[in-house]
Amino acid sequence: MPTSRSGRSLAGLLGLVAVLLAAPSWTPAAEKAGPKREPPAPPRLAVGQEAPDFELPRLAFETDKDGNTVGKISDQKVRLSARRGKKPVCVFFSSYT
Amino acid sequence: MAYKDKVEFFLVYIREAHPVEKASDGRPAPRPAGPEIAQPKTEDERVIAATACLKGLKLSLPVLVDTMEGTAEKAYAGWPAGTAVIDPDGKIAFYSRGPNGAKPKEAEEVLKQLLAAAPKPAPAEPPKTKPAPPDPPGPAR
Repeated sequence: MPTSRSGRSLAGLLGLVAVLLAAPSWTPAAEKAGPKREPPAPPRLAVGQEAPDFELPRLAFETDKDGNTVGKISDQKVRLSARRGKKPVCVFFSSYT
Repeated sequence: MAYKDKVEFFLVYIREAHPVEKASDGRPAPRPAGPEIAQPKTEDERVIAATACLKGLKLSLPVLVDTMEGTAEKAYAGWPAGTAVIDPDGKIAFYSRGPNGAKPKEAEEVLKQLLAAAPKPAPAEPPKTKPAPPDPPGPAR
Protein backbone atom coordinates (compact mmCIF):
# COMPACT_ATOMS: atom_id res chain seq x y z
CA MET A 1 0.00 0.00 0.00
CA PRO A 2 1.66 3.27 -1.09
CA THR A 3 2.25 5.76 1.68
CA SER A 4 4.25 8.47 -0.10
CA ARG A 5 2.56 11.71 -1.14
CA SER A 6 2.61 10.67 -4.76
CA GLY A 7 1.41 7.28 -3.64
CA ARG A 8 -1.50 9.04 -1.94
CA SER A 9 -2.46 10.85 -5.12
CA LEU A 10 -2.21 7.64 -7.12
CA ALA A 11 -3.95 5.92 -4.24
CA GLY A 12 -6.80 8.39 -4.58
CA LEU A 13 -6.98 7.55 -8.26
CA LEU A 14 -7.06 3.88 -7.41
CA GLY A 15 -9.88 4.46 -4.97
CA LEU A 16 -11.84 6.18 -7.70
CA VAL A 17 -11.09 3.42 -10.19
CA ALA A 18 -12.12 0.74 -7.69
CA VAL A 19 -15.40 2.48 -6.95
CA LEU A 20 -16.19 3.27 -10.54
CA LEU A 21 -15.31 -0.17 -11.87
CA ALA A 22 -17.22 -1.86 -9.01
CA ALA A 23 -14.01 -3.55 -7.86
CA PRO A 24 -13.41 -4.18 -4.13
CA SER A 25 -12.97 -0.80 -2.44
CA TRP A 26 -9.51 0.48 -1.55
CA THR A 27 -8.78 3.00 1.13
CA PRO A 28 -5.77 5.29 0.74
CA ALA A 29 -3.14 5.06 3.49
CA ALA A 30 -2.94 7.81 6.13
CA GLU A 31 -1.03 10.96 5.15
CA LYS A 32 2.65 10.93 5.79
CA ALA A 33 4.92 13.98 5.90
CA GLY A 34 7.24 14.26 2.95
CA PRO A 35 9.79 16.79 1.79
CA LYS A 36 8.50 20.29 1.10
CA ARG A 37 7.61 20.96 -2.50
CA GLU A 38 6.47 24.05 -4.34
CA PRO A 39 2.73 24.57 -4.22
CA PRO A 40 1.04 23.38 -7.41
CA ALA A 41 0.19 25.93 -10.07
CA PRO A 42 -3.48 26.91 -10.23
CA PRO A 43 -5.64 24.86 -12.57
CA ARG A 44 -5.63 26.05 -16.15
CA LEU A 45 -8.86 24.44 -17.19
CA ALA A 46 -12.41 25.26 -16.16
CA VAL A 47 -15.66 23.35 -16.24
CA GLY A 48 -17.49 24.04 -19.48
CA GLN A 49 -14.31 24.66 -21.40
CA GLU A 50 -13.45 22.60 -24.46
CA ALA A 51 -11.29 19.68 -23.31
CA PRO A 52 -7.82 19.89 -24.88
CA ASP A 53 -7.51 17.13 -27.42
CA PHE A 54 -4.71 14.62 -27.46
CA GLU A 55 -3.79 11.46 -29.30
CA LEU A 56 -1.63 9.02 -27.39
CA PRO A 57 -0.56 5.42 -27.88
CA ARG A 58 -2.02 2.74 -25.72
CA LEU A 59 0.18 0.54 -23.54
CA ALA A 60 -0.06 -3.12 -24.48
CA PHE A 61 1.32 -6.18 -22.77
CA GLU A 62 2.86 -9.40 -23.86
CA THR A 63 4.49 -12.32 -22.09
CA ASP A 64 8.14 -13.01 -22.70
CA LYS A 65 9.70 -16.47 -22.90
CA ASP A 66 10.24 -16.48 -19.15
CA GLY A 67 6.57 -15.81 -18.46
CA ASN A 68 7.12 -12.19 -17.41
CA THR A 69 4.62 -9.50 -18.41
CA VAL A 70 6.35 -6.95 -20.57
CA GLY A 71 4.84 -3.64 -21.62
CA LYS A 72 5.17 -2.12 -25.05
CA ILE A 73 3.75 0.74 -27.06
CA SER A 74 0.95 -0.67 -29.17
CA ASP A 75 -0.09 0.43 -32.64
CA GLN A 76 -3.44 1.49 -31.22
CA LYS A 77 -3.71 5.24 -30.72
CA VAL A 78 -6.46 6.86 -28.70
CA ARG A 79 -7.72 10.30 -29.69
CA LEU A 80 -9.85 12.05 -27.08
CA SER A 81 -11.96 13.98 -29.59
CA ALA A 82 -12.97 10.70 -31.28
CA ARG A 83 -15.02 9.99 -28.15
CA ARG A 84 -17.43 12.85 -28.78
CA GLY A 85 -21.04 11.85 -29.04
CA LYS A 86 -20.36 8.64 -27.15
CA LYS A 87 -19.79 7.90 -23.46
CA PRO A 88 -18.36 10.38 -20.97
CA VAL A 89 -14.60 10.01 -20.57
CA CYS A 90 -12.73 10.01 -17.28
CA VAL A 91 -8.98 10.61 -17.58
CA PHE A 92 -6.50 10.22 -14.76
CA PHE A 93 -3.03 11.74 -14.97
CA SER A 94 -0.46 10.07 -12.78
CA SER A 95 2.78 8.16 -12.42
CA TYR A 96 3.92 5.39 -10.12
CA THR A 97 6.10 7.47 -7.78
CA MET B 1 -23.05 1.62 -9.20
CA ALA B 2 -20.60 0.20 -11.75
CA TYR B 3 -19.53 2.65 -14.41
CA LYS B 4 -17.22 0.61 -16.54
CA ASP B 5 -19.83 0.03 -19.24
CA LYS B 6 -21.13 3.60 -19.16
CA VAL B 7 -17.93 5.63 -18.93
CA GLU B 8 -14.64 5.30 -20.78
CA PHE B 9 -11.67 5.39 -18.40
CA PHE B 10 -8.04 6.07 -19.19
CA LEU B 11 -4.87 6.53 -17.19
CA VAL B 12 -2.42 8.84 -18.92
CA TYR B 13 0.99 7.90 -17.60
CA ILE B 14 3.06 11.06 -17.17
CA ARG B 15 6.51 11.93 -15.84
CA GLU B 16 7.32 10.65 -12.40
CA ALA B 17 6.23 12.81 -9.50
CA HIS B 18 8.93 11.62 -7.09
CA PRO B 19 11.69 9.98 -9.08
CA VAL B 20 14.91 8.72 -7.57
CA GLU B 21 17.44 11.46 -8.23
CA LYS B 22 20.72 12.76 -6.90
CA ALA B 23 21.21 16.04 -5.08
CA SER B 24 23.98 18.46 -6.07
CA ASP B 25 26.41 16.74 -3.69
CA GLY B 26 25.86 13.44 -5.49
CA ARG B 27 23.94 11.81 -2.66
CA PRO B 28 20.37 10.56 -3.17
CA ALA B 29 17.94 13.46 -2.93
CA PRO B 30 15.37 13.14 -0.14
CA ARG B 31 12.07 11.79 -1.33
CA PRO B 32 9.03 10.17 0.24
CA ALA B 33 8.90 6.40 0.57
CA GLY B 34 7.61 4.58 -2.47
CA PRO B 35 8.69 2.77 -5.61
CA GLU B 36 12.24 3.63 -6.64
CA ILE B 37 12.07 4.77 -10.20
CA ALA B 38 14.40 7.23 -11.87
CA GLN B 39 12.81 9.81 -14.15
CA PRO B 40 12.48 8.07 -17.52
CA LYS B 41 14.51 9.69 -20.25
CA THR B 42 13.17 7.61 -23.11
CA GLU B 43 9.80 6.21 -24.10
CA ASP B 44 11.07 2.69 -23.41
CA GLU B 45 11.97 3.68 -19.85
CA ARG B 46 8.55 5.21 -19.36
CA VAL B 47 6.91 2.03 -20.65
CA ILE B 48 8.88 0.05 -18.06
CA ALA B 49 7.74 2.40 -15.29
CA ALA B 50 4.12 2.32 -16.46
CA THR B 51 4.18 -1.48 -16.63
CA ALA B 52 5.60 -1.67 -13.11
CA CYS B 53 2.84 0.67 -11.96
CA LEU B 54 0.06 -1.42 -13.43
CA LYS B 55 1.51 -4.65 -12.10
CA GLY B 56 2.37 -3.26 -8.69
CA LEU B 57 -1.00 -1.65 -8.12
CA LYS B 58 -3.00 -4.27 -10.05
CA LEU B 59 -4.68 -1.69 -12.25
CA SER B 60 -6.93 -2.83 -15.04
CA LEU B 61 -7.87 0.36 -16.85
CA PRO B 62 -6.41 1.25 -20.25
CA VAL B 63 -3.15 3.16 -20.03
CA LEU B 64 -2.04 5.79 -22.50
CA VAL B 65 1.61 6.80 -22.53
CA ASP B 66 2.17 10.53 -22.63
CA THR B 67 4.86 11.85 -24.96
CA MET B 68 8.29 12.52 -23.50
CA GLU B 69 7.55 16.21 -24.12
CA GLY B 70 4.55 15.89 -21.78
CA THR B 71 1.92 16.84 -24.37
CA ALA B 72 -1.17 15.74 -22.45
CA GLU B 73 0.32 16.55 -19.04
CA LYS B 74 0.98 20.15 -20.07
CA ALA B 75 -2.41 20.57 -21.73
CA TYR B 76 -4.12 19.49 -18.55
CA ALA B 77 -1.49 20.70 -16.06
CA GLY B 78 -1.82 17.12 -14.86
CA TRP B 79 1.41 16.84 -12.88
CA PRO B 80 1.81 15.33 -10.28
CA ALA B 81 -1.74 13.97 -10.51
CA GLY B 82 -5.08 15.01 -11.91
CA THR B 83 -8.51 13.93 -12.99
CA ALA B 84 -10.61 15.23 -15.84
CA VAL B 85 -14.13 14.18 -16.74
CA ILE B 86 -15.13 15.05 -20.28
CA ASP B 87 -18.77 15.01 -21.32
CA PRO B 88 -19.98 13.59 -24.65
CA ASP B 89 -19.90 17.12 -26.12
CA GLY B 90 -16.16 17.28 -25.51
CA LYS B 91 -16.44 19.78 -22.66
CA ILE B 92 -14.73 19.61 -19.27
CA ALA B 93 -17.33 18.45 -16.76
CA PHE B 94 -14.89 18.04 -13.85
CA TYR B 95 -11.27 18.94 -13.36
CA SER B 96 -8.90 18.55 -10.47
CA ARG B 97 -5.11 18.53 -10.19
CA GLY B 98 -2.33 18.71 -7.67
CA PRO B 99 -0.86 16.39 -5.03
CA ASN B 100 -4.40 15.40 -4.05
CA GLY B 101 -5.76 15.78 -7.53
CA ALA B 102 -7.93 12.69 -7.64
CA LYS B 103 -11.03 14.01 -5.82
CA PRO B 104 -12.81 10.68 -6.37
CA LYS B 105 -16.09 11.56 -4.70
CA GLU B 106 -16.47 14.80 -6.60
CA ALA B 107 -15.62 13.12 -9.89
CA GLU B 108 -18.11 10.35 -9.22
CA GLU B 109 -20.88 12.86 -8.51
CA VAL B 110 -20.22 14.53 -11.84
CA LEU B 111 -20.28 11.19 -13.64
CA LYS B 112 -23.60 10.35 -12.00
CA GLN B 113 -25.04 13.64 -13.21
CA LEU B 114 -23.78 13.10 -16.74
CA LEU B 115 -25.21 9.61 -16.89
CA ALA B 116 -28.54 10.72 -15.44
CA ALA B 117 -28.78 13.48 -18.04
CA ALA B 118 -27.84 11.22 -20.94
CA PRO B 119 -30.72 10.60 -23.37
CA LYS B 120 -32.20 7.20 -22.85
CA PRO B 121 -32.22 4.90 -25.89
CA ALA B 122 -35.67 4.59 -27.49
CA PRO B 123 -37.45 1.35 -26.58
CA ALA B 124 -37.33 -1.23 -29.32
CA GLU B 125 -40.52 -1.35 -31.39
CA PRO B 126 -42.47 -4.60 -31.16
CA PRO B 127 -42.20 -6.70 -34.32
CA LYS B 128 -44.91 -5.86 -36.81
CA THR B 129 -47.26 -8.74 -37.45
CA LYS B 130 -49.85 -9.09 -40.17
CA PRO B 131 -53.46 -8.83 -38.88
CA ALA B 132 -55.20 -12.18 -38.71
CA PRO B 133 -57.63 -12.73 -41.60
CA PRO B 134 -61.30 -12.44 -40.65
CA ASP B 135 -63.11 -15.68 -39.91
CA PRO B 136 -64.95 -17.07 -42.95
CA PRO B 137 -68.75 -16.64 -42.77
CA GLY B 138 -70.57 -19.58 -41.23
CA PRO B 139 -73.03 -21.78 -43.19
CA ALA B 140 -76.35 -20.12 -44.09
CA ARG B 141 -79.30 -21.07 -41.79
